[in-house]
Amino acid sequence: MRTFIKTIKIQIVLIKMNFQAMLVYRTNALLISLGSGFYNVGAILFISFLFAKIPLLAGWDKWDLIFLYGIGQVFAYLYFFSVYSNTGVFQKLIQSGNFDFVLTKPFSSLIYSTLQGYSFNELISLIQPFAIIAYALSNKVYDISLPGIFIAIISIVIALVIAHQIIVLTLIPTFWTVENSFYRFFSETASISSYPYEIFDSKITKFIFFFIVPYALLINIPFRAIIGKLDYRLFGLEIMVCIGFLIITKLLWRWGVKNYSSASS
Amino acid sequence: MFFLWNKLIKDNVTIGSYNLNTIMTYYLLSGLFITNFNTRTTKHYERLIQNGDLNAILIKPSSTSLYLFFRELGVRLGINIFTFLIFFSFIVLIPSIRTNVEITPYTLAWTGSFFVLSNIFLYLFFWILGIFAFWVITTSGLRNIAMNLMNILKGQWFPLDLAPPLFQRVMGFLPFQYTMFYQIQILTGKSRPESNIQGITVLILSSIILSLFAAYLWKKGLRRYESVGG
Repeated sequence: MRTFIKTIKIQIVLIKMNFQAMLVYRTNALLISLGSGFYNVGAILFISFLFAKIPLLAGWDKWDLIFLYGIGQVFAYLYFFSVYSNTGVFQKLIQSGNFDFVLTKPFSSLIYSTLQGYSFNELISLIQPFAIIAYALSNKVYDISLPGIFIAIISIVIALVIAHQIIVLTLIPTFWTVENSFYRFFSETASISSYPYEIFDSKITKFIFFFIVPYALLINIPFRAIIGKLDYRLFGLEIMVCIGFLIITKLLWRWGVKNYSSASS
Repeated sequence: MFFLWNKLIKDNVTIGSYNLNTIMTYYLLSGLFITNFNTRTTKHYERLIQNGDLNAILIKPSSTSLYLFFRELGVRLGINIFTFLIFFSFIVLIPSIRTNVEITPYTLAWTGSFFVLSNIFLYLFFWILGIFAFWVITTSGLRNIAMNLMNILKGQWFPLDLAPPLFQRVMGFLPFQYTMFYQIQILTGKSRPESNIQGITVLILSSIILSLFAAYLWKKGLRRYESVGG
C-alpha cells in the first residue's frame, strides 16, 4: 500500500514537471494541436465522402461513425498523452544502465519506467474530439443516459490500462534486445478500433481483435455505452481482458527484471 | 484499412469505381511514395541551425543549398531504390494486384517524370519548413501541420476521385495530389494525357515559386544566424 501511495505521489510530481516543460514551448504545443486538427478534418472528410456513396456501414450511419471517431480520438489523445509519450524512456534507461537506479527506488519499477513523461501537447488537443462529438450530436438524436456516460468513462480508463499493458509487453523484450520498435505496431494499427467491430467478419479475426489485440473493445464499448446499445457481456469481457493483460505483464516484467544485468549494477 | 474496405465492398460491391482489389492496389501503391513524405529534411536543417553545425557547411567553397540538396538526394535515392524493389516484388507476386497495375514504357515514363518533379517540390517544401528554425526553437509544430494537411491533399486518407467533383477540381490546381494520388492513377491506367500535362505544369510552377520563396527566406535567415565557437 505504501509503495502504491509513493507511486501515485511520484506520478503527480512528474505530471506537474511535464506541464511546466510544455509551457516553455506553448506556441509549438498550439501548432501541434492545429496539426492534429487537420488530421481530424481528414478523418471527417473520409467518413463524409464515404457515406456520400453508401447509406450504412454494418448498420451504422455517418453520424454514428463520426460519434465513434470522436470517442476514439478522446482515447487516442489520452493514450498519446500518457502511454505513448513514454515509449522511449524505458529503452533509454536500459541502454544507459540507469534502470539500476529505478530498481533501488521504493516504488513500482514498471510504472516509473513506463509512465514518466506526459505529453501535454496531446492533452490540449482534447477539445477537438469533444467538438466532433458535439457535431455528431447536433445532427442525430441519441438515447444518452448518465449511467451510460459513467460506464463509458470507466471503459475508456480500462482501455487505457489495456493499451499501457500492450505497450509494456512490446517493450519487455528490451531487457534482452536493448532496443526494439515493436511498440510502434500498436500505435500504427490502433486506428482500426475507431470503426464498428462488425467489420471483423470471420471467427479468426473476431478472436484476434477481441482477445489477443483487443481493438474491437477499446472504442466500441464506451461508444455503445453512451448511446445505450451496449452488450454488457462485452463490457465484462473488456474487464477480464484487462485483468488478463495485467497478470501476464506483471509476470513477464518480473522475469525480465530477474534476467536484467548491467555493468554498473 | 483492409478490414474496413473488405466490409464496405462486401456490403456494396463497389465504392465509386473501386472494388476490393483496386482499393487494396491503391493503398499498396501509396506505400511506394510514402518515403518521400519524410520530415527528415526539415529536421536535418533544424539540427544544423540549432546546433551551429551550419558553420562548417557555410565556409565550404560551394553553394550551401546545392551541397545540402545533393546530400539529401543521395539518401533519397538509396531509400527509394530499396522501397521500389520491395513494392514491385509485391506487385509481381500478388496476381490480383498485378492485373490492376499497368507497367508499360508510357506509364513508367510519366510516373518517372512526376516522381522526379514531386521529389524536387517536396524537398523545397520541407526545406522551407526547416529554414523556419532560424526563427523558432523547434519546427515540430510546423511539421505536424504540414504532414497532416498533406495527408488529406495527396490522397493518403482516401483516393481523391472518391471526393465530390468540386473538391477534385480544386485539388487539380494544387501540387499535392501529383505527389502521390495522380502517380497511382497513372500506374493503374486511369490518367489522361491532358491531365498529365496539367500536373507537370502545376508541379514545375509550384517548384519555381517555392524555390524563390526558399531563397528569400534563406537569405533573411542567414542574417539572423549566429553561433558561438562554430
